[in-house]
Amino acid sequence: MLSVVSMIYIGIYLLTLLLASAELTSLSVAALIGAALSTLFGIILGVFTPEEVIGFIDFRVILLLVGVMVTFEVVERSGLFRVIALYAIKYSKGDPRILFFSLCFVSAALSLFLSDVTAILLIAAAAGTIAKIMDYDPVPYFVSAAIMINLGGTSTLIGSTSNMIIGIASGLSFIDFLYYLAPCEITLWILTSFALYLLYKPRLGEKKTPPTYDPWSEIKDRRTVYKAGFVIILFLILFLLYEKWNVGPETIAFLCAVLALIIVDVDAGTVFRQIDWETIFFIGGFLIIIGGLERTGVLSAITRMVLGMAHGSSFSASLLTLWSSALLSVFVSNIAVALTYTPIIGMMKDLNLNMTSLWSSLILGTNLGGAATPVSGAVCVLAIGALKEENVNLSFIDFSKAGVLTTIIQLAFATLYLILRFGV
Amino acid sequence: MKDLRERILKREKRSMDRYKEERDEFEKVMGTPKIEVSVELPKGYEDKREEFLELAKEESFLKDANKALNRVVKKHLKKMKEQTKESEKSK
Repeated sequence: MLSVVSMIYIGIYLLTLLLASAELTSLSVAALIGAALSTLFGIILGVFTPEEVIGFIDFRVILLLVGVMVTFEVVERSGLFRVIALYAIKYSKGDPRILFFSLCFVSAALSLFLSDVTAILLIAAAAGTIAKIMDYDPVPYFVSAAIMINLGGTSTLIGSTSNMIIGIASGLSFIDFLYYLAPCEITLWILTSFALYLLYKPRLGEKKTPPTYDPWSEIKDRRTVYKAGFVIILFLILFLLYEKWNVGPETIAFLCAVLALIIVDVDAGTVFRQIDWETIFFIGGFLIIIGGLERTGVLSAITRMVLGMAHGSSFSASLLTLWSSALLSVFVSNIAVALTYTPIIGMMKDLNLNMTSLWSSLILGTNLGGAATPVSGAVCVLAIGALKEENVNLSFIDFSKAGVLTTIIQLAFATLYLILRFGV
Repeated sequence: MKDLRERILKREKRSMDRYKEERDEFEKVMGTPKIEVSVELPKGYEDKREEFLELAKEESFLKDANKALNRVVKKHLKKMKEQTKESEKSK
């Protein structure tokens, strides 16, 4: 039986999720309200001291997030990703099928590095322009880009904010992520893009003469783009090797951010203004709420409940984690889901369970649940917003048809993958 | 659900501004190039400030302005073309 103090903390947690999910306030403000209430009650009820509150915030996650954001904001400002998108369109040679698949794969590939928000704005702008020129229906391209961007980066430590949170909490390295999840992600790219193609085939339009252009024409200084390419290669090499040097991913991300600012000639002030402070404040505030839940014994009670439901089996616990985290991510921010689940799974480490299977399930669940409906994630909201700019009003149902279909396909395959990869 | 979507989209205004910037960049490469010309309130019409600003939304004005500007652009491009031809001849 939970105590009154525990119930108060559950109330604060649910209030925060309600405020954020119903968009009564922004994500960050909702988390800061929850953090303020947690701190206030924690001090009044003697759950923790004011000094202990700051300890709830994992600054390694914040450093990793800021480092990755700065690095790729610098690279994005160079125009490199725009050139890649322009080449993808150019080589489709006016064939809507090739255009569709190339935009799908470029979307997922860019999402390996860029935040989902930056990636969808870039791809939607590219798709919107070519759709207008070729007189194509923009909906298939925008919706598919949003779904592929949500999927892209599932198997990398830096592919999404939830992956960074899980990566730091689990201790899984960049290589571990790739080793355990890359085969699953690559298969999901193919399955998802093919399912979207079948769904949208009648709406893709006919083959037409494409515009002739040079993807480099608006690049004022090619050297900046080459430097940005060098930063990405260096970033990947350092992330593949950091384990050998006994340093964490957050240190490498920070170093790469500094290097990117030095090497690529962009205005640092502009880069810092583009950082997603909303997400950073959200994580900071939400970690304080989670700290309160942990101190009052709520999380250990949930852990016992999950283990009871799974009968102590790694396989059942993994499937429970996969599907429950995915379903929750459909309705609330997947960052909140990752922050809630990581301490719960962390508590299972001494119970002779297959931890890699559990962490992999959480990674898949939090990533795959983010594009089922227009309100499942920022990427979906922005795709709809961009469509509105193109004078197309996409309904909740229209988006969800594609979102729910692909989410079910992805989760079904993820279940099969977990069985094959980690055994029953 | 529609209200929720509208609330979210309103909050994403900054992102939509960035979308428009990106869209302009792609338009410059793939689409028809554009130049923007700004027009000041003519002297002697200072008391018609409000009406002047309203013109930016008036369809008939935009149509006339586009027609007139098109004529001016063509005239200048033709002149530039002739100048290039003449300089090539003189070489």
